[in-house]
Amino acid sequence: MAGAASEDNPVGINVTALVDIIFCLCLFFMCSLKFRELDGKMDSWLPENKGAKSSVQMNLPMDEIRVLISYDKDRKQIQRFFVNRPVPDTAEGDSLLQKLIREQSASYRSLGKSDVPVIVDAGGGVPWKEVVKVMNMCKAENVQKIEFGMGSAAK
Amino acid sequence: MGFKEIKVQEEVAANLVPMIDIMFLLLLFFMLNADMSQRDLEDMKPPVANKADQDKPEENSGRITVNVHHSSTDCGQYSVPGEMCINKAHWFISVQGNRYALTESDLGALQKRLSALADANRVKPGDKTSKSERFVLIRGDHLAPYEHIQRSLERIAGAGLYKTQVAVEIEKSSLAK
Repeated sequence: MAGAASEDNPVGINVTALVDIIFCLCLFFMCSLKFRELDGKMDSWLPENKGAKSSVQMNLPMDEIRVLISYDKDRKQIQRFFVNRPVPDTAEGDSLLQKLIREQSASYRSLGKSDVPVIVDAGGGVPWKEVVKVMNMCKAENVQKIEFGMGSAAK
Repeated sequence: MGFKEIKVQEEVAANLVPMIDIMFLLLLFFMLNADMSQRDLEDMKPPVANKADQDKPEENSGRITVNVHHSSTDCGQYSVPGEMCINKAHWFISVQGNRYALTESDLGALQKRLSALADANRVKPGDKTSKSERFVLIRGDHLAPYEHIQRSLERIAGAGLYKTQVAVEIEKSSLAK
């Protein structure tokens, strides 16, 4: 056996300690191993030149598709508005909201404005998953630009 | 005829060399799998979506990950399915293993950190007021109140970063299609 004492080589290396250490290391890495889950991502944009102190005046977009989401704490209910039109937080409401986004973005596209953003403007108490749900609808309708509203409904 | 029985004493020992080889290989496998960059990712459940693009790590080198996550072991609200924890003290924003509370001082420190990270990809190098081309991945817990996400967005924008991505969990049914 390599390393062990033999007639030619009376000095052997005791590998037991090495095996023990490797076992411990193996156990450690096995326990800390976490297989990477399938993660997804959605691209979004923050208003440019708005956050960083800049002398550049931001041009407010004239064309936009705005979805407002707020949360009624007392009734624990989500309220959604497409521009000014209320959209219920139900499966039918989801279909309706998606249809409205589709129609509105199609009408902008027909005018040659393909990069009109959908602005998701949510209130402070709205769960993040509700905002992502609207983003998911936008992705389903091939909306290229999804922006976060930093204003009205949040206040 | 009386033959004298020769007793040969054989030393019986287990050959440990193949085992050590295998153990080393296993160790290498686990060490390589334990990607240390994973410390960027806090333990949380991101929102589920079925229209998201699959995140490929090789395409996102240099990306900054901002986690908005809940961290309290004794929160009665968060442990109830579907309930949202509204206690601000239970929520944190983490970047590269550094945890920031939702207080003005901590958020200021967060912006400084983000700004330092953004410096590498500024449009005008050296100019802190110019925008940065670096991507930011926002990993928010599915039950995080939007105001906490908004606080992080403000600081991200304040650091001159504007290219953001939202982390989601891809719905299993959409993968099957």
